[in-house]
Formats: sequence, structure tokens, C-alpha cells
Amino acid sequence: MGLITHIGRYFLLLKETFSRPERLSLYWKRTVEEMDLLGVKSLGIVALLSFFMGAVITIQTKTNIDSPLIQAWVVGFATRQSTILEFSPTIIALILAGKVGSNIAAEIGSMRVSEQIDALDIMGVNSAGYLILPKIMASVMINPFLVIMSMFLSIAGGYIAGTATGIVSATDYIQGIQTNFIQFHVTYALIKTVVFAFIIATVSAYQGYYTKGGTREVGISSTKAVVYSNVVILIANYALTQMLLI
Amino acid sequence: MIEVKGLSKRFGDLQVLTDINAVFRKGQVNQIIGKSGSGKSVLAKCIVGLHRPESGVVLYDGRSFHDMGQEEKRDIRQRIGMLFQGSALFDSMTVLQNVMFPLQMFAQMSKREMVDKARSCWNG
Repeated sequence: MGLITHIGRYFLLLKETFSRPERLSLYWKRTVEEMDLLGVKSLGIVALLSFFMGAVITIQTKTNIDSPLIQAWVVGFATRQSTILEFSPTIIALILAGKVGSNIAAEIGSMRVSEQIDALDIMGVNSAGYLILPKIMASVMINPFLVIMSMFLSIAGGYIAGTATGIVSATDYIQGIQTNFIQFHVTYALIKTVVFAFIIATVSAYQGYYTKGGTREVGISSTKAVVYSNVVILIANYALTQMLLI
Repeated sequence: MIEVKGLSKRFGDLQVLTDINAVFRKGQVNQIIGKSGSGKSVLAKCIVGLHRPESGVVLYDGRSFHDMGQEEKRDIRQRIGMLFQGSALFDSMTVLQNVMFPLQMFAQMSKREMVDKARSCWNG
């Protein structure tokens, strides 16, 4: 099946997903459950990754710009900028594509091969809407909170690593993270986060929804979900950066 | 009345159904008999619209199912019951939740009424 066919089928699935829900209260209940599954249960990995990411950015920045011509606060500034503009929204999205994307594709794919989706269709339930819409809504609502937490933890990780190793003083680091702060950069990061969340949920759901075969094919769908979500995220990252920052 | 006219279905190179014609009238009990792999399930899935045939039509009271809009298809499907070979139970739900599911989706009932109605299904 060609790329154009996949893209066409993806958009047809989206149209079906966003058509009228049968019972709003049931969809909302499922959205809350998905927020727990896809968002709250990802807090640990996001926190761990963000803290060490910030620590490494600080140490690497310091070792690369260790010059008397560059002021010490630049380390904090570079950590904040790298974290807000790129590392928190994009790296966290790539990590979530692996964790959440494979989960979505495997769950929906298993339902497809065990005829549970056929059973929903036979009942007259909009299976695409019932299964996919709550996941999209949950991802789009919860991911910005994960990324904001990631930003704080990454900058905090940089502070602790920088001051503990003595490569930057607390005063210089704090001055750095306060210098030339542009509020729009946070908005830009959150716009990216929402778009990436949508991509993760929809691309992974698409892979799962059209799974054919058995358990082996469910595994293949999960792998494809992660790979294609990552590719689309990277392309969207470039497009959004060009549109919003230039 | 459900009519099947000239229905053919293939999966890749495998031709499963060729020019099937049948009429299922209201009030009749019909059986589809055939050896394993002959396409009985595929025919049933074509009739309820889970598979799209390469050629031929399935008519519900004279209207082609595959030409209907999604809403119209859903209305018809809500009047169809189908038992799958692999049971197709929602394995993340309890038995009670499985039985209650269509009620939660479509019925205007309190939770208590749904539970009572669902329990009455297996109490007889």
C-alpha cells in the first residue's frame, strides 16, 4: 500500500474519529481513564529523563564554552533555552511516542485481531470515535503538563549538577535562567507539545486500528507506530519551528 | 428483508466468494452451511458490512448497505446481533460490564436499571 493511500486512510479515520459521539459522558469517563494511563503513569520516566537531561546539558555547555570571554551565566541561559525550546517538548515527545504510542497501537491492534472492534461496529458504536477520540483528548490535555514539569525538572537538574560539581555558581546559574527570557518560547514549546501529542495518539491509533493478522502483526504495528510517530514528530518539529520562530 | 446479489469477495489472490445470491426474509431462520474455509464467516461479515465486497450488493429493504452513510449504517447495525467465532468479549471489562455495554451506549437508563437488566440476561 502506497504512502498516499496511507495518508488518505489516516485522514478518513480522523474524520470517523471526530464524528458525533454516541454518549458524551462515557467518552469523558474514558478520557479521564486515558489521562491516567497515558499521562500520569508516564510521570516517572519523564521526571527522571528531564532531571538528567538538564544536568547533562549544563555540564556539556560548560565544557564547550569554557572561555574567559564568555560570562559564567551563559551556562544557565543555554540550559534554559535548550530545555524550553527543544529538549523538553521534542525529546519528551519522542520518549512518549515510544512508551504511549506502542501502548496505543498494541491495545487497539489486539482489539482488532480479537474482533472486539468488529463487535463494536456491529453494535452500531462508532469504534474509531469510542477507541481513539479519548486517547487523543487525553494526550492533548495531559502532555502540556508533562512538558511543563519536564522544563522545571530539567532546569533544576542543571542547577543541582552545576552547583554540586562546582562548574557554575548558584548566582550565575540563576542569573542565566532569568536573562533575556522570552515568554513566547514557552508558548511555542506548548504549541509543539499539543501537535506532537496529537501525532502520537493518531499515528499510533491508525497503526493499531488497521492491524491485520494475529499477535505477530500486533507487535509489528506497535513498532511501526513508534517509528512513524517519531518520523512525523521530527518533520512537524522542523515545520513548526520555521513557522513560529522565523 | 436482506438480499445478497452477485456478491464476490477476495483477499489478495484468494477468491473467497464468487457471485453469491441469497434472500433472507423477515421471520425466517436461515442456515449457511459449508466446509471449513469455504467463506461462511466472510459472507456473514459482508452482509453486516464488516467486509466490503469487490462486486455485488447487500440490500436492506431494497437499499444498498455499502452506499449508506455512516449514521444510517449504525442505525441498521443497532438492530443486528452477531456472535463471533472468537467470542470478541471486551477482555478489559468484567462479564457484567460486557453485557451492560450496549445499554451504557444507547439506552436511557439509570446504572441500577442497567445492572438489573444485564443480570436478568443470565438469570433468565
